[in-house]
Amino acid sequence: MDESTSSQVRMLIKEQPVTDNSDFQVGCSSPSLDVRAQLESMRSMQDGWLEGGGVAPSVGGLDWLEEAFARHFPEGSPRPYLYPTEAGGVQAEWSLSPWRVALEIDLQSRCGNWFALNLETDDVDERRLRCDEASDWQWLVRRIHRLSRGLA
Amino acid sequence: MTSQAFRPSRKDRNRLSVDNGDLVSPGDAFRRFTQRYESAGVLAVLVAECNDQGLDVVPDPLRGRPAHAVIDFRGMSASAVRRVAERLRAAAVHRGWRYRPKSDS
Repeated sequence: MDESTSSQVRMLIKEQPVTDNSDFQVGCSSPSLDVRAQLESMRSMQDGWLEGGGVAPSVGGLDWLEEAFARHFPEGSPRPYLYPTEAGGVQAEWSLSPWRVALEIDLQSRCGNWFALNLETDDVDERRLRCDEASDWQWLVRRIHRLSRGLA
Repeated sequence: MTSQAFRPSRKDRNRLSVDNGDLVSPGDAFRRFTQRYESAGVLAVLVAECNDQGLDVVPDPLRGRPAHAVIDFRGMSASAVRRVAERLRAAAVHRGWRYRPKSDS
């Protein structure tokens, strides 16, 4: 059946905002997953980047987040894709099949909302993190490693 | 591809703006959109995939954009919105790009 013409299976099309991470994920070893490089690409953003809305991440906030990743997120850990958020934060995303993970980081409060969804079972795992606390980064790293090994 | 693209932004007021693929091609939707904004390309979800997540899809034609429709997230908790957005993202990514601009290189 032709999905583009049948009203029974009407397709809804959505334009995707430009980010440096717009390509499909190609694996954790991709050079594009370098955290520093991804954050660097956000430094030149301007307010209004999202269809006229969207707050640009602050340079100070990006400095802090870059340092936090360098300090707390070990080499060899599954690297996230990083995206700006509409509110001026950064969202880190991991595809750890069957899990999809998103950590939405507020660069002002330095808090993060962890959200993980198992696409096979619909299990959800949510948690509020203090991203200026080493213990919460340790929890995050342990959790990412567990999910990457297929453990809940 | 971020799951944020599959949930409403603030200006959307919980109604995610899309185009009806029966009425406009992905390429034409892209060209209209990029008259004002930048875009990496076009992805798509089915109405049935929205309905499966408890979302209604409503035609919302606008002047100069008769194919406009909205996916209605109203009444959903923030957690439910994130879950549904991940589901829609997974479906769209599995389907693949409907349109991508040619590279300049």
